[in-house]
Amino acid sequence: MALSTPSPAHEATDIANNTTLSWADSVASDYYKVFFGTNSAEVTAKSVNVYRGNVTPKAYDPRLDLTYGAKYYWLITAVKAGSGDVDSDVWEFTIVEEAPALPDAKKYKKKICSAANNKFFYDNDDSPPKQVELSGLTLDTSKAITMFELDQKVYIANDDILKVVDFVNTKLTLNDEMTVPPRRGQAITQANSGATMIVDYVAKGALTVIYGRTTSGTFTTNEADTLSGDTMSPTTRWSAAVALPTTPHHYTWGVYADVTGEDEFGAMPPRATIGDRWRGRACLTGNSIDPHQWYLSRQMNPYDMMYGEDDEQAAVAGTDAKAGKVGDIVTASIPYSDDYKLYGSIGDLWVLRGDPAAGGNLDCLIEGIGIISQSAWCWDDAGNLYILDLKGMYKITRGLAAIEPMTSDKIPNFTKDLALNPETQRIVLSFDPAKQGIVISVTTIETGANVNYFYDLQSEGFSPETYPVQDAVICSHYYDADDPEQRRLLFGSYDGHMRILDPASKNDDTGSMASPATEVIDSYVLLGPVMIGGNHNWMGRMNSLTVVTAGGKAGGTIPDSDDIAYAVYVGDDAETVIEKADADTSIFGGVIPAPGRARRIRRKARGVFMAVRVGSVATYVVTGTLNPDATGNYLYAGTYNGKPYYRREDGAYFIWWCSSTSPDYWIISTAAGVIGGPIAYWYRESPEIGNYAAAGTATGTATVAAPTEGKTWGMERVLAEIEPAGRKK
Amino acid sequence: MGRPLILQYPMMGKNVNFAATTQPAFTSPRMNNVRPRDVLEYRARGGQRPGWAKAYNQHMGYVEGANVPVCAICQVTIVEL
Repeated sequence: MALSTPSPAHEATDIANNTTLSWADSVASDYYKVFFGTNSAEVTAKSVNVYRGNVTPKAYDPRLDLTYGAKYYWLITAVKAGSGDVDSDVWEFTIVEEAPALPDAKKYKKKICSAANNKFFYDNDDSPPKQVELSGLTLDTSKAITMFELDQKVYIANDDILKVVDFVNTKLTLNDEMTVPPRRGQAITQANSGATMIVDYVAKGALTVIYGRTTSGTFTTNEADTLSGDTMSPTTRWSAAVALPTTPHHYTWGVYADVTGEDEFGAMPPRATIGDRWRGRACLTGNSIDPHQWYLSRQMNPYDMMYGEDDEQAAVAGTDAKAGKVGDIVTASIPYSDDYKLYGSIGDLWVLRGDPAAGGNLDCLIEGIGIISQSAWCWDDAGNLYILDLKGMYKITRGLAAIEPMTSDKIPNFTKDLALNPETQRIVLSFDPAKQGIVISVTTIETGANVNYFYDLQSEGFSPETYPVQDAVICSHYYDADDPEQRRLLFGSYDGHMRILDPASKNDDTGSMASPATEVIDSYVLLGPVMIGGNHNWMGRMNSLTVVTAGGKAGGTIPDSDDIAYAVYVGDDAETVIEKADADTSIFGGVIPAPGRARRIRRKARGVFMAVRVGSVATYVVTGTLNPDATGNYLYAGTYNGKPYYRREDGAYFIWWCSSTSPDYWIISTAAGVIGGPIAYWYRESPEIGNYAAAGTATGTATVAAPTEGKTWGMERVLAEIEPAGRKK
Repeated sequence: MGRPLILQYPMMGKNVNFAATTQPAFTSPRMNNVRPRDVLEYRARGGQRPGWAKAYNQHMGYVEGANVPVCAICQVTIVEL
């Protein structure tokens, strides 16, 4: 017997950590004893510690993942009855070194922060995250406020309240005041624990607190663990309290503590309502005491406001720079890459080109066009800027190449219709990359009344929108979250919630979690007016109408539209048709059952001009203990007596306006125009929603309410069949 | 047999800049809560705007007896050490 040909080969290296062992034998032994381990002496001595058992085949599977980089030894003893035992040599091999782990692509996380009710909120680490209040931070949300990110912190400009919410630093509260603080960006070390941090902030006049990024170890609160480093003095100070950034720290945004005893870092502006970052600087403006002024901190040091120092990274303000102040009251501050920064005022637009600490200039970009308020602007993702001025909306093309009016050729009274007044309204422009459009929101602060438009970048069209008061827009932010599900345009709502415009929502959420509520969206569009008579002196006749809604036949792979309400208006001229549409005095109307191509509507309409209104189905729900039973869903059915009327789904009852009584009433009865006598009906004065009293032979109080079930719709096209109908007299 | 008249959705939005008699193609003088792209498939064919939904369940502006608006939103990116 002779054992040979080990596998892995003797002294082989870079062997996989799941290898099996095998060998050759010159004869057929009865079985083999296996000794295997990392201890050479024990294997050589055939210690029981490394004895792995007996095997019959000439192979052995360690059945475990061997240690990366380790050297293993093994010995086989061949056993054959009558021949004595034969040992192999002690063989060895080395497992491959562990491959370096794949790089973790994500080493950061994003959080949404919000301000409401004088409080600050931030995402916690739940999934999905929740907005939790940051205890102890008091803002004044009755005043103008902006928040911006810089260096893993949120900086807040809230008039005379300037705050920092710090998500990254460890806070060391010292046992006593320092005489000299460490400089910003320098390391301090704690004795014994060996913990170190890079100092980020020591507030001027508050020499007992150090904020810094822990770079190694864990800071302790032992008196013997003194702190030292850089200019810190004395070095007998120790941290009486240590607070990790598991809950964000917050503190007043001030300048850094002086190290030399001289005034090194200047002073913060006394007030600011507009803040942002640009060229690595914290930028402030909107100081009501000095409304033309702007302030930029030192680059990457928002705690250095020492303006006019002789270096290109120094802090700089309008007063202290060659650029000078803005020539009008600043209403908006708009950073764009490192190239330029725009300052808007009510009447003009100014641009800061280049760094003002290094010879940059502030020029008036255009006179007579400004930005009405601090949120009345937005960028699109092609680098174009959109601004709202008292005269209309403008697009400033990428690179400030051109200024184009957007509304004057479409809606000349755009701003007049919006009744713009920045003193009483919150005016917000919000670009939605997903929808490739801009939501223009004007909300009256006192009441929540709102006027809004959606501007579609592709069609360059404006579509007006109205929102329930609860959903009125006060602020917005596009959250470019890592999670695609969370990536969306967020709106701060009038009722204190944060909301989105959700394609999956068929109605508007208006409630809270405690009191859920929704409101049906009233949507419509007028198709036309179009001339159907050939010219102004010829009548035309529409013989039929076909409405094709989105979704094909019910079911299938394409999402289905809900039903669509329609109404047809005709008139001798186009404006009469529009006026009839405004008054909803249609010649006929009803509900198109969706989806797909509905049955052709074979009704006729005659006029010179025609328009068709399509939109959401106005449905009313009638409830009560009624005799006869008039309860059920009532659908829009057109116009009667100059007002919309509604038909129960089975056509047995109607809600309609009776203009022949005194006073006039809304009526529920079996047919529009039929009341009085021995029939059952219910009545009430305007509006049509509410309780109706029984009359005639009816009993019970009928209640008419708007439904809460949302509907949505999409259309393919509307097809009318028309023909000449004679000369107009 | 009459001739067909196709009424398209006014993709170019509201327009009240011209005489109603010469309403520009693909525009409308009256519309509300509609968008060029429907919410069903986001096709350019017209439909109702998306509805409002809560982004967070938390009610930041809750005050006893009243609500106050969310008046500022921002995001912050934090390095995970």
